[in-house]
Amino acid sequence: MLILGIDTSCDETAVGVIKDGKEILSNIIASQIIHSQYGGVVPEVAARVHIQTILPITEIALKVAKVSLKEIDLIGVTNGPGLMGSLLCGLSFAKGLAFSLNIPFRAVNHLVGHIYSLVLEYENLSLPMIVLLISGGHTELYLLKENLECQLLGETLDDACGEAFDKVAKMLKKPYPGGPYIERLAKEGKRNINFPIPTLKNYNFSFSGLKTAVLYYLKENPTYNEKDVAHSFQETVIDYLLVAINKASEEFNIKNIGIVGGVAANERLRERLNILAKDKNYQIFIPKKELCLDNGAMIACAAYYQYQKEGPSDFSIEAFAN
Amino acid sequence: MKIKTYSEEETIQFGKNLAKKLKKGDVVAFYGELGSGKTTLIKGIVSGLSYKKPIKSPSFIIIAIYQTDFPIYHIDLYRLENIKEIDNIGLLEYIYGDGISLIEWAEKIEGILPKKRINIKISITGKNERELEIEGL
Repeated sequence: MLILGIDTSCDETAVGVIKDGKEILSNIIASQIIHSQYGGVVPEVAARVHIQTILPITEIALKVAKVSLKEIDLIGVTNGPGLMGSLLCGLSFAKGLAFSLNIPFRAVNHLVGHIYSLVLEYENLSLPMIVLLISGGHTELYLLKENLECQLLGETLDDACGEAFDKVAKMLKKPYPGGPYIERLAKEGKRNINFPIPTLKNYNFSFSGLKTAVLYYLKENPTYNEKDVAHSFQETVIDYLLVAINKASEEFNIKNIGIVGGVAANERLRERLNILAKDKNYQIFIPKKELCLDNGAMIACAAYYQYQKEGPSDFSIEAFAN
Repeated sequence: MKIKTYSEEETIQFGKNLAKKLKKGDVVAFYGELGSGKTTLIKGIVSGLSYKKPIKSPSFIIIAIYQTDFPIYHIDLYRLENIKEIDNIGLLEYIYGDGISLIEWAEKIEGILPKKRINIKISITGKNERELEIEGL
């Protein structure tokens, strides 16, 4: 079975083709360079760019996969959460394509799509697993069961993990998106500032207090060393994430840990996870970077499994922002 | 009107009380630097408007919609820049619609905001201490 997966939930137009829920034939992401002209994401611009890029990106994805549109058996598409205009563009395109080809389509939750990036990456995924989804817009902790069902354990109550990185970078006067700047600065910094590790409420996260703690520090120390601020902040965030992982691992007695989403690309996080894994006997699963970012292949994968279980989505299904 | 709060909880409580004075069609513009507590205050307001689910920062999705008897539009323009260059933005539909619009980083769309609106400026006056200046209520 050949599945076309489409994700236009936010900044990227992403289209991928996979075979039988496992094999990636293509996975194309059009970084929307236009945003750099505006210094940020502009929603209508994003939607407009998706309209312009979705057809050429789909054509490239098919070409790279060496399949024709007529061979596609199922279309998977993100219908939320995300930027409304952008979501509508992908969803309408997928519906139109499915209708004209007379094939089924399946609407996929973007967050569930991220979790399925693990299924794509690992031939033998050890389940059940504790999965942490961390990105610019999301921070969620899941229990992924043997039947691939996802149970939400907790989520952020305010800022997302990647958003905290971006906002601290902004306080350090770095351009958007700031996450990579923090990571780069942190490499040369020392942990000499005591930012409080936020408390975990059940499994719900909060990054807002940490953000404010950094702000107070910068105001009180105008001659701050930005490398030390970045390093101390990043270590505190990682401490916090590891607290959540340890807590869930103990409670559910699960040693398999998966990390997905854009922030999973953070090298220091990977390093500290590996140290923790040795100590606690964890088995760590992190997809490669292309699969951690928003992409079409993960949506195709989720669509494949959900279609097997529940059949196609109805054409009346709508997009949802939050 | 100017008031001071001395903790996150107080800011949330103030938001809950403020909510009682809001009605359908109101536009509330929030001003204040990163970390000043705009989202925290909005948490209080939204909860005071009888929306019972927890809400989070919509910086990423820009517009979150909370459905009560009427829609509440929680708009966060943090990631937007140079809005003037955009001739047609869907935001107007929300702002001039019949829900309640709560807009963070409102200065970014100053020119297209309705004149009749409520402005809330939040300033950091100390650790955990905030001054809230409210106009137009």
